[in-house]
Amino acid sequence: MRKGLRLSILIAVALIVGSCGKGNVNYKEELGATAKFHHREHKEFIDRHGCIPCHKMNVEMSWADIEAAERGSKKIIMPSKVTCHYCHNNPGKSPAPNAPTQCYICHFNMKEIEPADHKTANWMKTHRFAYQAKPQKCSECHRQRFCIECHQRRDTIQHKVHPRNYEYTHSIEAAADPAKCSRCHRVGFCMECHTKGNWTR
Amino acid sequence: MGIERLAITVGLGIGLLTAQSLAAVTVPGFEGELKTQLEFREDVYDRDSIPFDNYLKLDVRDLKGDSELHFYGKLWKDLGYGTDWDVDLYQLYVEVPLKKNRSSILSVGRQFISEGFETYVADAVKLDISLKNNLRYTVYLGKPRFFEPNTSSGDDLLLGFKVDFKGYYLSFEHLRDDGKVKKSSFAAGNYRYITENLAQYSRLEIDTAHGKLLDANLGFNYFPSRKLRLNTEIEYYDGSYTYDGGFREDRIFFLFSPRGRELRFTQSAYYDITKHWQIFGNITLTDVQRNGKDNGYLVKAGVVRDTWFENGLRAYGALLYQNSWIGIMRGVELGFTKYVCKKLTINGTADIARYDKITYGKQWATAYYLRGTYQTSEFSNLELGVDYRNNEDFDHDLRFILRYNLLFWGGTGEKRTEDRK
Repeated sequence: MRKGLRLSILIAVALIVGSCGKGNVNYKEELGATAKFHHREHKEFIDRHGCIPCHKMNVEMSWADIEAAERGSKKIIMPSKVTCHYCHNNPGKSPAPNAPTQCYICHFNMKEIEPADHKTANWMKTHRFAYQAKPQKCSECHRQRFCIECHQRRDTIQHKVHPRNYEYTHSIEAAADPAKCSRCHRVGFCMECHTKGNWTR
Repeated sequence: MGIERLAITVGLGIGLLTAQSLAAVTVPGFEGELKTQLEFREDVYDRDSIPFDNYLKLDVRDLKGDSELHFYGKLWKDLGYGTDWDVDLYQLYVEVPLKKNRSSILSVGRQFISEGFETYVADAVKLDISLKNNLRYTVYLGKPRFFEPNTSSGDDLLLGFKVDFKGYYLSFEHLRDDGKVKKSSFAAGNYRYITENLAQYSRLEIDTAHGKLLDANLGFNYFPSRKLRLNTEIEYYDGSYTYDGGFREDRIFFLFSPRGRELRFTQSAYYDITKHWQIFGNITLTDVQRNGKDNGYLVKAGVVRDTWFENGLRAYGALLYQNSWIGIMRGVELGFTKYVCKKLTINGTADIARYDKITYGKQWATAYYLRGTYQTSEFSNLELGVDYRNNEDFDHDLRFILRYNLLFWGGTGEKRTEDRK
């Protein structure tokens, strides 16, 4: 099995590495949030409502009217995030229930859109206070399952909270700040390794 | 478990079906994410372990009465060990708005609850009511479910309520297991911006069932300029009554936990030096009551280089220092994300630590992770990762990870007519 596995990995690596092709990457253009917008994916909406809901301008035009569209494009105003979020981040109130809501579909680098208090180097510990006081503020960007990813789901592959060598060093931090562990883990979790010697998951 | 397995099988089926094009059929709006991952590793007993994990997240919106269905589950087995299929059902609940403006919402089913002293996934009924004057009530009743290994779900009962108003809240949560009260706590606190640049938060928790002050926090977020973000926090915590005395069978908690209260002070800073360089630091000092006293120090300081829009690179490095009665650890964390081209992104991390513990003496603990993400279509990708960890006592651990992610959505483009009227 291992020989086959190594071979498939080598093939996968070769495919991945050879996938880029030639030519320069225009990072600014490819990585901005609006880069992911395609008119073709919004065709149904545009057919029904025209261009004006997104591009506010004083030109009467319709999707099929190419000349008007040409004129309009000279006066066009790019839609703001409020326009996008009206359908894509408006839980329960979005007029388009089929509009996808995951932020990373457009925001490729999520660090760009973190609020200031998330970037205080201690947010992992302090976010509970913000949530408990104003849960509706969190739900502007996050859904319940975002909490579940760290608080309940356990698989060793993703390592969302601790560094990957943490299983070897955690006792030092656990003894320094013992209040922290029991906020997410129950004692059975510790005993899984400390009594059986190995956690396979 | 039978119901859970049925639910996740049905959920996976729905997910796969809805991932197909359903243009000709009128269906409610839906959105989902399918993630399937396979890991190859050799365990410490030289056996092949091949965990095969499948995750499905699914939201179905715009159902009758503007209600929504939410699903999140995991179906897994170890192909190497030959274990049976197993299921973790994290979410399966319906959100029913009791009013058109969604100011009152009833949630029924397995859901995430984090209104009181801890976070739970519970089979519960929860009611949220928001009034016009910003007053919100939350009431819930249910049974918690646990997913960590070696932590089975019992006959626990969880109930609680919370009232919050303009950033202030008061909550009560009661947890029973096996006919006994485990905890019954009142908590009060706030999180508010005193000025545009200064936020203050606090929390006080009293376990009324045991008559103990369990936890008290006070903290500030301060943003003196657009470039500098500071956080200061102090905490008092005393959970010793939960494992002392009657709970001594939990030897690990007993050995590692304080015999009394813990005091903690944390100071953090994050500073944007230039558009591309940021530095951050975090220091935590603790005073832990054991046989006599013991202090703890946790320090992390690092730098971020962010040239995302110039060359698609975000990299960071950090130094760590930890010191407690167990030992001392000095470490380095390094990581990067590189957008190579539209088809390929590469991530990597290296965690290297040198520690000296009273149990094992001086040792190295290293972990390296390299992952390539290949864009297979506009909304799906394939990840290939290699994870290597090494330590003198625990030996090495090498894993190959293959993961496929698919986002899908669809349904009719507009809300149901009956609900718009």
